[in-house]
Amino acid sequence: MTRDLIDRLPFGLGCLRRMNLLLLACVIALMAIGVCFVYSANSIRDSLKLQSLYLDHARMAAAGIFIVLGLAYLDCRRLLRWSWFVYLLSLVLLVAVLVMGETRMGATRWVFGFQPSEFAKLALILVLARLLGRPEARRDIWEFLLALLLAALPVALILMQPDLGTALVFGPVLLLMLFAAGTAPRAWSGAVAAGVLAVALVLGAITLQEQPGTPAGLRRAARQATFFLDDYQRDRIVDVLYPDRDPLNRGWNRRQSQIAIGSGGLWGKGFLKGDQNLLGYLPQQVSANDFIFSVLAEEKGYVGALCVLLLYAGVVFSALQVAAVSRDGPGRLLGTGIAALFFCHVFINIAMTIGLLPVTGLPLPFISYGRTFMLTVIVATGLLQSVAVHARRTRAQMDAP
Amino acid sequence: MADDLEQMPRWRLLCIGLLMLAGFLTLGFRLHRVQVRHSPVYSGEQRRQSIRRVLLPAPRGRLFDRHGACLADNRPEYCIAVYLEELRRPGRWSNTVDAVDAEIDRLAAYLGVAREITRDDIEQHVYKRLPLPLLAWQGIDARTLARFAENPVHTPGFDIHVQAQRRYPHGTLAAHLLGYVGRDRPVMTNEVFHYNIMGMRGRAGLEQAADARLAGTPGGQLITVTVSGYKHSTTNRAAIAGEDLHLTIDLALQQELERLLAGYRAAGVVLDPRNGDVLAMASLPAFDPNAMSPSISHEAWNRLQGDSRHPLLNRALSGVYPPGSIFKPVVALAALAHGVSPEATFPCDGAFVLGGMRLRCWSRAGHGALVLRQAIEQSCNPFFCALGVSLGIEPIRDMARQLGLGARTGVGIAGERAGLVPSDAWKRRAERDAWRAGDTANLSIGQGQLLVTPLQMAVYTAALANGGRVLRPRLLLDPARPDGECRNRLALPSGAIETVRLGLREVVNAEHGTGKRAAVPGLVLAGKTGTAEYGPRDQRRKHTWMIAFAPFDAPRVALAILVEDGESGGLTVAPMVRQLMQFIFRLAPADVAPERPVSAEDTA
Repeated sequence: MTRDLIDRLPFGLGCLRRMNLLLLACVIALMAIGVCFVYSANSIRDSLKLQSLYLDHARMAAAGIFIVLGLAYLDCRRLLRWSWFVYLLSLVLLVAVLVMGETRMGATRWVFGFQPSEFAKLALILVLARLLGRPEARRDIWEFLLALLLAALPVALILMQPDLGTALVFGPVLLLMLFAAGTAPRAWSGAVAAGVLAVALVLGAITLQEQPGTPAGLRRAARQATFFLDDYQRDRIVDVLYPDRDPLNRGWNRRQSQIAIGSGGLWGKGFLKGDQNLLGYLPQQVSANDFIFSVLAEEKGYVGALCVLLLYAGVVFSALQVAAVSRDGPGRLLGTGIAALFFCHVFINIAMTIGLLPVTGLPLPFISYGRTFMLTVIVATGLLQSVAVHARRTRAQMDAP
Repeated sequence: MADDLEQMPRWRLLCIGLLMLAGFLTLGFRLHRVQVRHSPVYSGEQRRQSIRRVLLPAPRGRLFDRHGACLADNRPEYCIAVYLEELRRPGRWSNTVDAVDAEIDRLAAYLGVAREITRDDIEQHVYKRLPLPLLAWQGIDARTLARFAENPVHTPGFDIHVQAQRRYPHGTLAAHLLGYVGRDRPVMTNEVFHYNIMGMRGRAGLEQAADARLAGTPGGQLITVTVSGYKHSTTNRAAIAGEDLHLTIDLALQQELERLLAGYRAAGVVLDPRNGDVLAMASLPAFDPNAMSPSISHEAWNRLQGDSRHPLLNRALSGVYPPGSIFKPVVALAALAHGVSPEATFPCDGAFVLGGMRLRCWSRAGHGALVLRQAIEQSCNPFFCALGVSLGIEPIRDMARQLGLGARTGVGIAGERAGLVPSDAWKRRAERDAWRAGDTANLSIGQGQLLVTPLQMAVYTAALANGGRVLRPRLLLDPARPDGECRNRLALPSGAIETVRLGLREVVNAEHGTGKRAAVPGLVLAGKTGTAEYGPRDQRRKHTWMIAFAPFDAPRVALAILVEDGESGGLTVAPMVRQLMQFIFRLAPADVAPERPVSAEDTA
C-alpha cells in the first residue's frame, strides 16, 4: 500500500525506496554525533568563530542529506561516464595546490579553501571503478600497471605537499579494488608482498637505529634506508615503537590522546566534561578534526566509543553489501572502493588516537570537522546509494522480460 | 550483462569484509584495553598532570589565661593579590609578566603606595607558583584597603586576599612563656603537595611546645591547571582549626609580677603548690612577640641578639644562677633525713674556718650556739658550713637531686636548662681536681659551682609548702588531674619538713628574721632570702633571691624571684614578695586558685 504510494511519486522519485537504509541511518547518526563533538571540542576555543564551527558542521550535514538523496536519484552509470574528466580535474587541482596553494601548519594543502587531496581519493575510486569494472576489462598485467599509474600520479602530487598520511590511504584503496576486480592476481600478490616487505623494512631500519646495541656503521646504513621519511615522520614511528621515550615532546600528542581516551573509562566523564580537552592537553588546533575521537571517547567512555565503532561498521558493511548486490562491475568496484576509503580513515584515525599507529592527519568520516573531507564522504555516500538504487533497477529490468 | 561479474565473485568481497571485521575487532579490543583495563593508569596520569595540590594552613588555636582572657589570637591581614590567569597574555611568558608588571604599576600609582614586589618576583612566581595568587601588597592599611575597594575602574585579576596574622594583645607580657611564631609552611602530612601556603609555626615558648595542638590540620586545595599551568578551577578541603589552649597563667598576677620586676634583669615564677600550676612566670627584660610575626627584620633581630641585657633569654628556666642562702633548707632537710637531731647545735663565732679557708657570717659578732630552726631564721653561714662538712657531699647532693635540682623540671618549654649539682666525679672531670671539704662547705651555703634556675627554686619551694611532693610544673590547665603530677615524694622522718617550714616562717615573721621586709600583716607566710656572690674576687656581684609560700598552714602559692645584680635578697626581693603577696591575698584572693578542702599533705 505505502510502497504503491511511493512508487507513484512523480519524476520516478519512488526509486529512492531502494536506497540502503542502514547506510543512510548510520551516516545521519554519525553526522549528528559529529555536530555534538565538534561543539564539545571547540567549546573551549577563544574566538566565537571557532566556537560556532559546529553550526557549520551541522549545515554541511543537513545539506549532505540532500546531496545524498540527489546523487541517489541520479544513475551512477551516467555519473561514471564523467570519471575520467573528474580524475583529470583532480590532478589539475592538485597541481594548482602546489602552484598557488595556501600554507597552514607547515603544509600546503589548500586551494580556494578546498583540499583537492581529499577529492582526489574519490576521483581515483571513480576512475578505477570505470576502468577495472567495464565489461571488456582484460584483467591483465597491463591493466594492473595502468591502475598503478593512475594512483601514482595523485600520490606523487600529494607527497609533494607534503601529506604522507593522505597519500598512504591510496595504497589500501587501490589494492582492495584490484583484489575485488580480480586483476592480475599474481601481480597483485606481488604488490601486497612488496608493501608488507616495505613496511617491515622501514620498521626494521628504524628499530636498528633506535636500539642501543647497534654498531655505528649499521646504524648509518639503516638511517640511509629511511631517507624518504622526514625527521618528524620518523619520530612519530619511533614514538609508536617506544611509547615512553619522549612523552613531553615528540610523544606529547599521542600520549595526551591516549590519556584522554583511557581516563574516559567505561562510561566516560560526560558531555562537555572531558578534562583533557577542557584544559588544553589535547592539541586544540586539531581536536575538532584529527583528534575528535579522543574527545568523544573521553566524554562518552568505552560505551560511546563502541557505539561509534558499530556505526562505522554499519557504514562499511552496508557499503560492501551495496557492492555485493550490484549487478555490474563499476558499481561493485565503486562500493568496494568507498568501503575501503571509509575503513582506512576510520581505522587509521582511531588506531592513531590509541597509540597503535603513528600520528597522521587523517580525519574521521562524518564526525571530524573539515569541509572538503565532509563533502567527499557525503558524495561517496551518495554514490553508494546511487549504486544501491540503480544497480537493483538493472536486476529488475533483467528479471522482467 | 551478468557475465562480466563472473570475474568478480562475491567471495572476494567476503574476504574484504572479513579483513575489515578484523580491523574493527582490533580497534574494539585495543579500546577495551585502554579504556577499561588500563583506565585507572590513564586516569592517574591525567590527574597527575592537571591537578596541583596546595596545602592550606589551618587557623591557629588561641591562647587564654586560666580565666579566659586572651593572650594570643589571630587577626586578619589584608593583601592585594593578583590572579594571573586573568591577566594571561598569549605567546611568550614574558608577555604575561610584562602585563602583570604594568598592571601593578598602574595600581600602585592609583593607590599611592610603593610597589612591594619586583619584576623578578613576578617572574619567579610565574615559573614556580603559577596557579596560586601572587600577593602584590601584604598587610595593607585601612586607607589603602578602602581606596582599593572603591576603585571606580574595574581591575580584573586583582582582589583582596586575607591571611591570618598572630597577635599578642598584651604585647611583651609573658613574652618568653608564650613565645612567638614565624612564617613557615604547614606541617607535612603523608600526602604529596605541590605548593604550600605559608602558615605559622611556633618558634619559641608555648607556641613552639604546643605547636602540634595549636596548628590544627592543614586543609587542602586541588587546583586544576590548564596545559600552560594556569588555574582552571579549584576544589577545597576545609582545614581543621587548631585547638584553643587554656593556660594556668593568671593574667592579673602575671601583670603584677612583671610590674614589680620592671627595670631589673630578673625572673619570677609563681606556682600553685597543690598541683604545680604555673600562675605566673616572668622574665625581664622582655621582647615584643608581635614584632616577630610574620617575620622580623634582620636588623631588629640582630639588635635583640646583641643586646647585653639578653631580652630573648627566658631567665625563669634558661637562666642558671648560684642559689645562695635559699639552698640552706636543702642542707637542713639532708641533715634531718640523715638522722641529725633538730636540736643539734653548732656554734657560730662570726666565721667558719677550715684549713686555710675562712667563710664569714654576715653577723660579724657571730650568732653563738644555734639550733637548726634558728640557723635557718638567721641564715647563719658557719652553722650550715659546719653542718654540711659534718654530713659530707653525698647526702646534700642526694637531697638536692630529690628536690629536682640538677635536672629539668619537665615543664616542656624548649631551652630549659638543668643547672648543676656538683659532685666528686663532676669535679674530677671538669676541674681535674678532687672534691674537698671546702667545696662541701661552699655548697652548703649555696655557693661554689652549684647552679639552679628560678623555676627549679619555685618547684622546690612548692615541695616545702606542700609537705614534700616535688611536682612537675604545668602551663596548661588540666582539670582531669586536679593534684598535678608528682615527680617525687621526699622520704623524710616525721617532723623534718615541719622543722624547716617553721624555720622559714621565722625568716619572715621573727623580729630579726632576714626576710622580715616580706611580712604581710594578716598573712602568715614563710620564705627564705638569698644573696649569691659571683664573679672574680675583686669585683664581686650579687644575684639576689627570695623564695616564699603562703598561707603557712595551707599554702596556695609558692614563688621564687631572682633579681640579677641586686643589693641583697632581704633588701631587694623581700619587698617585692610582700607586694605580690598583698596583691594575691588582699586584692584578689579568690582569683588565684579555686578553694579546695584541706588535704592530708597540706597539714603534714
